[in-house]
Amino acid sequence: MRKGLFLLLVVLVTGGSLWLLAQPQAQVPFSVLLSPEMRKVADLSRRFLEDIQFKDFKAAARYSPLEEQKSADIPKLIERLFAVKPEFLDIQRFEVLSAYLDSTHRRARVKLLTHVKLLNTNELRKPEVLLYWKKSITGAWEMDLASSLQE
Amino acid sequence: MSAKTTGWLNRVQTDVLARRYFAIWCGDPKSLGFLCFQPVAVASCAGIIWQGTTPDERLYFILSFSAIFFGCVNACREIVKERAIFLRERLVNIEIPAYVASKAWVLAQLGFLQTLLFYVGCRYFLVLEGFPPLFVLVLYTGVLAGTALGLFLSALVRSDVVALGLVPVVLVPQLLFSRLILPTRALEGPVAWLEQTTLAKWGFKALEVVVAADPAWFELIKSLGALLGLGAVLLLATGLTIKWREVWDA
Repeated sequence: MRKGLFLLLVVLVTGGSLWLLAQPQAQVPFSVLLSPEMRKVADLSRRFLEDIQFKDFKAAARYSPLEEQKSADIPKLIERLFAVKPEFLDIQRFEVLSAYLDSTHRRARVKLLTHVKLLNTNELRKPEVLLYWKKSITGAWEMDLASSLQE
Repeated sequence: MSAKTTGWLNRVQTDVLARRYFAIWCGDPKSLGFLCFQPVAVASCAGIIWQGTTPDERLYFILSFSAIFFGCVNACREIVKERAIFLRERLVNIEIPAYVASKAWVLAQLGFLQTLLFYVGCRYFLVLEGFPPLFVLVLYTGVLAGTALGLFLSALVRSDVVALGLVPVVLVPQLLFSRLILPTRALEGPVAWLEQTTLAKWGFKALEVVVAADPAWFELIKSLGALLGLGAVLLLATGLTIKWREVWDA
């Protein structure tokens, strides 16, 4: 009886933990999750791609420095990256492949793998996206949009 | 240890032998530590190589092969190293199925621990595609099949040094007869037949299904079934080899 309960507990704990790992928020290497700064930029990167996934370009521009937000042309950048107009782009899911901070811990780059479908051709692609971040004087992470979104 | 046999397996004997075997493992922290170190070390190497890149089929092949490797290495000395004890206990009616089952049962538990360490170790560096519980299940099935292969080797030889020496002999062909190494045109005739009998082929195939965008569930069941089937055949062969050696030596 005790053995059976123990086995059940092991199965439940293991299954539960693995199920948690299947959640979109957990699609990040553990090494990234263990560093608070890297976790922060990885999280911001995920949120940025989520905005693009839901075609909320205004929200996506918010990650840029204040003075660049108005001029940020995200649809154009997306077109440059995926070689397709944003309306034909269906970002199905994405995961953080890696995140690195520089020696000053004021610059970061995050590499993401995206799973996209081109709606005009039904083609499935897995482009990698690099996002570059800089820490502002206030301590907030801001995306360097001009250098980001490179394949 | 009275022989209270239910069917072909004496469960009382299996239970007693498994408890003793487990206690032996627990009393040997060095071996247990090495057992835990193995998957972490391999996962770290794979992680360092593939970190920051898109996981590809080579990575998945290495992971499935490593799982089989862990199982095989864990088990390859476990029967031969205590052959003298086993022969003495045979005089008081220890049954071969119970003996093999006790080994397989304890090694399966340790293999589960290794599988979890291996998966978590990989996830430290990488994001692995596929549903994690299924991914772990496939790796674990590979460990189980590898354990059966290791036990068979252990039953076959007369010294643990020879058993260790045979591990690469059975594992390297798993690499050589894999689709990643062989060009497609070579996969015909006996080569194709041999490929079907390798554990690595089925482990890799199952992982491919798990990480696919649109998994073919029937293929997954087939591959896991093949791994478990081959494992069961190897366990049966282990028991028969022990019996055959007994008759031969008499």
